[in-house]
Amino acid sequence: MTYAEALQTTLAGEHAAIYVYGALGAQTSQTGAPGLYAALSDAYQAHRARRDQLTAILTDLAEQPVAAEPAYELPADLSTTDAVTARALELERSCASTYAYLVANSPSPERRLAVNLLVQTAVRELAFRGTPETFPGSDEYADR
Amino acid sequence: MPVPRPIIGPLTGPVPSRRTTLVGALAGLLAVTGCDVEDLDPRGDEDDSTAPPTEASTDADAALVDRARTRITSADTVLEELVRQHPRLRRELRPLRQLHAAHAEVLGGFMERATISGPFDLPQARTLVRRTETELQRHLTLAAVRAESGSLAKAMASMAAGIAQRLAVSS
Repeated sequence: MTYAEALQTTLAGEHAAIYVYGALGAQTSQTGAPGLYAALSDAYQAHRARRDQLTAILTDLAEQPVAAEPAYELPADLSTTDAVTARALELERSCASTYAYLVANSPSPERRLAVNLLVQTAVRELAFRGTPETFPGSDEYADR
Repeated sequence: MPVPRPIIGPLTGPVPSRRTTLVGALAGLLAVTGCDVEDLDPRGDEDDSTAPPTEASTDADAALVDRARTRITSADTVLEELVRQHPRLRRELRPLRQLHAAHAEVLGGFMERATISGPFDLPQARTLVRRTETELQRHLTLAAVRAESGSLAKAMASMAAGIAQRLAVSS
């Protein structure tokens, strides 16, 4: 796995995350669940910014950034705020695993971005009722 | 229209297993730090994320591991002393102390503890906890960036993220 391949994998994940967050936001009432709506909006904006950042890095590496898929599979039940919150938490945890993977596959000079993304996403999990973990994004250590 | 699966595929790409992480990339480091890798419970998935470390990179990473263990030990010693001075903090600081223990274990265990000087009143103690943990998080973040081994970098970054979460819930 090269650095560019790891970046592409992460970018593909960002495309998916943006799509899913759009759907989660669309299912959430700004007036009925303002806290959740704000958290989803923040996450959506953050992932868009990360997508743009990763795209720029890949372009600088003379790589063709992977494009978004036309559509993505969505969870069946987004009818309640609890369901939306749970899905958002699941999404951020998946992102944390992806960023940890990017950390492991980034050369040292380029690794700061991936480390920062992992830390930011771990904290963002808490906005979706996540609880602190011992090794966010690295479950292989958690069962020690 | 076929709908591509989004999250599970790309977002859960190959990640190093605990065994490959520690045995593959950190074996030399753990030998240096005296930890027995044979007692690690193996997991089956493969890891192609890191090449075998060179001697120079292993030496550099061993030094990073030792410094991280020292920092984690120091932070935990501060918490231990604050709990001794303020037993009411025991419950409040337990999650952080458990976090330190788990992080230290992955790196080979706590180092020898030093003594902490000075009594602290309760507000000072809480301020000191936050400052200590913030500094530890920064140290682990920097160590993650500097590590030669990708697996070690991942472990350090994950530890920094874990501390960041604890700081966020306690603020």
